[in-house]
Amino acid sequence: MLVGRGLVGRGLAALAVAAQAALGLFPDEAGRIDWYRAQIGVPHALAGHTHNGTAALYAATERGVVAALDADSGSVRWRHVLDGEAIGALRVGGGRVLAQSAGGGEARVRVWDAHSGALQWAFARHANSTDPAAAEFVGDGSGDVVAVAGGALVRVGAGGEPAWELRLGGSAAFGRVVVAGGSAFAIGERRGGGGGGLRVVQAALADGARQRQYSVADGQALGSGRAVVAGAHVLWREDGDIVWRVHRLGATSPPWDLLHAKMVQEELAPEDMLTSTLGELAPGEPRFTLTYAKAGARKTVAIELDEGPDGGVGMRKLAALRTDGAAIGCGGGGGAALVAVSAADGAWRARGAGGERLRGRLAYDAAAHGPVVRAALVRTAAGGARAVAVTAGGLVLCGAPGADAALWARDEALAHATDMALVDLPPPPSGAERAAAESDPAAGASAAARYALRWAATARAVAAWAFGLLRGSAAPADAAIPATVGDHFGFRKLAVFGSGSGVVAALNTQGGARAWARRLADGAVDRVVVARRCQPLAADPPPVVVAVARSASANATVVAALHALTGAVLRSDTLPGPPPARVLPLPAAAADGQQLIALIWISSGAPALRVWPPTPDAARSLCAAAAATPLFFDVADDDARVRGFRIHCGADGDAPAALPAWAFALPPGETLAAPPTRYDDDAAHAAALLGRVLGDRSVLYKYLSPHVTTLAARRAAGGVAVYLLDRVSGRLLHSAVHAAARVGPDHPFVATQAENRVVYQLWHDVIPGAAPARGYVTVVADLYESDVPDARDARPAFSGLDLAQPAVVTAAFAAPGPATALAATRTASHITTRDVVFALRSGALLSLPAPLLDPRRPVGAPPTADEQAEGLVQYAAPLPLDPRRVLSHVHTVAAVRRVVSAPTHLESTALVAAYGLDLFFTRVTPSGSFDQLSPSFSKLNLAATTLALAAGCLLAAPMVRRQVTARAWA
Amino acid sequence: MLLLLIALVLAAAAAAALGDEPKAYRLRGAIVANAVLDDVSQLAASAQVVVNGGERRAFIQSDGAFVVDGLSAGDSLLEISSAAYAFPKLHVRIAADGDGGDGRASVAARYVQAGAKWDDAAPVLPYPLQIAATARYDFYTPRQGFSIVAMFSNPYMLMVGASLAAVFILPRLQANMDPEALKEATAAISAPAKPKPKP
Repeated sequence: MLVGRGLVGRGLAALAVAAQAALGLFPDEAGRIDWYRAQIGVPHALAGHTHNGTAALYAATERGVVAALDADSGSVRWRHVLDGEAIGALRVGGGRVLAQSAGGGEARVRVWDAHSGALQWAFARHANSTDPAAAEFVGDGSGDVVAVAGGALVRVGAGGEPAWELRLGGSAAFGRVVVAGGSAFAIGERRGGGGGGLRVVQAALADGARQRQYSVADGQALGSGRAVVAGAHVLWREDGDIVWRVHRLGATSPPWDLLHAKMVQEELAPEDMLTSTLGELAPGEPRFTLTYAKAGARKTVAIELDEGPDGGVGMRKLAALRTDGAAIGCGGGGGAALVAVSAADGAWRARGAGGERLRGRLAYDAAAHGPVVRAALVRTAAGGARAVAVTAGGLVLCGAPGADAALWARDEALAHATDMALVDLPPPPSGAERAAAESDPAAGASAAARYALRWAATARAVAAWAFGLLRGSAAPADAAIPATVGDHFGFRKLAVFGSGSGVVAALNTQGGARAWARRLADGAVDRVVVARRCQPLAADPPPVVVAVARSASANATVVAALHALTGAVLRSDTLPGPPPARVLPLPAAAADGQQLIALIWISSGAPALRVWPPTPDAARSLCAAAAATPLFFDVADDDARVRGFRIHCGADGDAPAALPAWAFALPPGETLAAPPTRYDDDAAHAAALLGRVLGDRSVLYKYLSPHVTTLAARRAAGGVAVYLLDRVSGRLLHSAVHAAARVGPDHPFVATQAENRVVYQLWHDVIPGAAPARGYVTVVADLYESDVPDARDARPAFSGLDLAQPAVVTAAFAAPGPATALAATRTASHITTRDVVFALRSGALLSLPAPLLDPRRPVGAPPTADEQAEGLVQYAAPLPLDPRRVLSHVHTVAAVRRVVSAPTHLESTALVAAYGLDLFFTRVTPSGSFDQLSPSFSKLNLAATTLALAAGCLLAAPMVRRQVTARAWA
Repeated sequence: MLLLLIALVLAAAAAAALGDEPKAYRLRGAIVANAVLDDVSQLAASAQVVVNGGERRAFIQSDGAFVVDGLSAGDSLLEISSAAYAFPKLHVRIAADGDGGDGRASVAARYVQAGAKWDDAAPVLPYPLQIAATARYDFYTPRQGFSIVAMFSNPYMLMVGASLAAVFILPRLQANMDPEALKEATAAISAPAKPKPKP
């Protein structure tokens, strides 16, 4: 349906339609009605570096981000999101940052300018995802890098061009690179038989000529605690041995030497040596750590290797620390040091290479963020030091020596957000409630006193408002309002997030202030569900959110009910076994008003079903609800089948189970590419108008079933099939085959549903009607009860089991860009038209109005009078990227995983939240702010007009009086 | 003619195929400064080059240069993904038939419009690619400030003005009128309207 002719004219017409409703954001609204948080993710590699007198902390994170943080404030100086790539090595030196990453079938090496973050060069090589990779700076000031990528040892220079390349062969998994003595060494663990050990390939640094290849450290493996690479040496301890063996890379005679040291003899007894472990300290530096237990205490020693004039290897102790329950780390960038941060209370101690002793404390809430798991010491520009710690919950802390509190902290847990639920907040207290709260209980005994106090509280509120008005702000600053207090418009809610680091955190949607955070488990929080909404009276049961988390260490699932306003755990259950495949809020409540939740484990037969909370009362409530209205759910339990189940209770009415209801098997040769769209909100399908009024005043009635779900399947013959299913009956409502489409990690299938409209987007290698063009295509499908106007299902009762087949009207558009998520806006009474929000890969959140996405737009001819009356404009293939419709304006909202919309108390206004790597919240008015004063309304004009009228009246009054008097005397 | 153009525009580099791996090519280009974007280093930290909707991505260097690795022969869509600037989309055709065994292939790039048919008759762009921003996104609607003209064009203010005129100016006009003319005008106003004679 895509048509390329006359694009410009019709594109302009479409833009005109878009502009009608696109009020755009006023500059002074930016940052006032929205907020944005740029995040980097939980760091797995940290390095400090000072360049041109500026100190920065560089981080590679589990979200595939390379970032530079200000060492004094923690603010992001620059960051790069390596979407879909896992970062391995991070090295900093000479004003450059080296990041080695892998993903998408390639191993990549990139070098960035440490100060500006600008890319200096990049190198990519085809590689399997399982191939190890490594990279190191050559270290001669050239900025060249030696890397292992795609099974070859490569030297890469400026421009990303390889200077030489040496194939390594498949004898070992080469995952380490060392540059020393004019040679480059690739070190890997031997594959196949032979009892393990390390394989070393030595190449000339100048031309890549293979100098030597040999094996060393038989039976050892890096990372086992018994073998390390320390600078240009490989050090290992044989099983049952109490001495180390050290091999200088490239040395032939002797191949290795025994390393005896007085320091070791002083530090630990022979039996302690047997249980000691070796660890790597600073990449590329001849240093390592020895950790051992002595007299029940754990101790870590940092050791430096040095070569004597005779070529013998010696060592010296740099620092020693007791490390009971502590995370240990080192100083990067040549600042040899050791830091230990207590996992319990954040107290840290460090030893510098020069022997200086540093200590401080990184005070933080361990219950909310978990224990410290990673630590590093960073040198500042002035020669000072900063201790950096990362907690299991994703909090990054930085502290200065001698300080009891952290210098700065970054909560990166929400960069790994997995789910979000919005909780309504209680409205702000009235004057009477404030008076009651502020008054002496004794005074409350008198009605007159209460009356006086209430008026006094009101007077104080008016005075505060007037004072604020004089200061230029009539409303109190958002920061001054507690995060758990709402407002009269419903703009303030609590966004409760679950994160991959096991943290549940609640933020206020207005400003992003954190209300509370709690770490539930050491695994990811999979779902967050609002189980009880906020009640109007404070004495009512509190709002409750239920979080389902994985306990990785215990191989169990933790289900916890939390007080939505305080985060207090009201109830927690640990269920053994893997986490459930589905967490389904049910349309039934327990006796205390708490919504029931079904936990579903998929098996080859009927899925296992558990109701939460696990009480007989809850099971009975569910059975009663299921008896009144059948409850259905669906699961995609393999690559080629979706099954539907009905919740059924036994004769005793208290043992709910899942009974198979239907199965939808994909046609042969198709595999599921995108599972059925998430469904736990009937309101998404609610509509104020049951039909669509056409230009001739006839009506097309909408197919408003809340059970429509969308799924996509990859076809073996090429292309993608999209299916719309009814999840009650399993009936196929609509299908479309996109023969030239492709779905995969680089080309995600995204979809959203609202009322009777399904919108999805997918990549097309050949665009229909515009071949050989390529691009993303947005497809809109509107479902109607019939394609005949005024015809509708006349039955008084509707049942999902025997609904008529819908009539589907579809249209395809050229998408405004690659999208990672779609969502339709949602208002309180569904009267306001629904915009569709596209989270684009460029970081823009684009909101497109419903008329632009209307599949009934006339194609190839201007709209007729009836079509104009219906509000239709001529079809144009491109969906415009109008910057006035970019909700995120100047912000780059990176790697959005999901967009959520929620209603406010104003029908015109919807909240829109986007989360992924970053967080962004804003308000939208798809049909304009018809129930509020226009943002452009001039209050000054109103005041001036009123004053002018008043002045006119005052001036005219005596004159009129005189005239009346004169007329009376005439 | 087209083939000649394609032949003239040769790719500068191509990554050699290794073993059974599909042959992959390297594409070079640069974002160039113009009146819309006078400092290309602004893009370095925020924009990316995206090929085929995310199949291949490349960061942009501080001088605007970029290199996209791993491209396969055929037609590709190249876009500059930027949240602040608009860039044209390019249809890039890498023709393996120009590969003479030296690892090079011919490249032809043309501007395309979203949703439109890729037109082989469109002019071929020089290689390495030189791409310039077409617009800087303006996300905001300027708020109208206080304007005395706007205030007096307000209907309420016009009503106020008319009322004031009636109060202040009409009495003075009455005072300056000839008494007889005033009496006639008053009588005309107060006299009942005469019915129109019927035809």
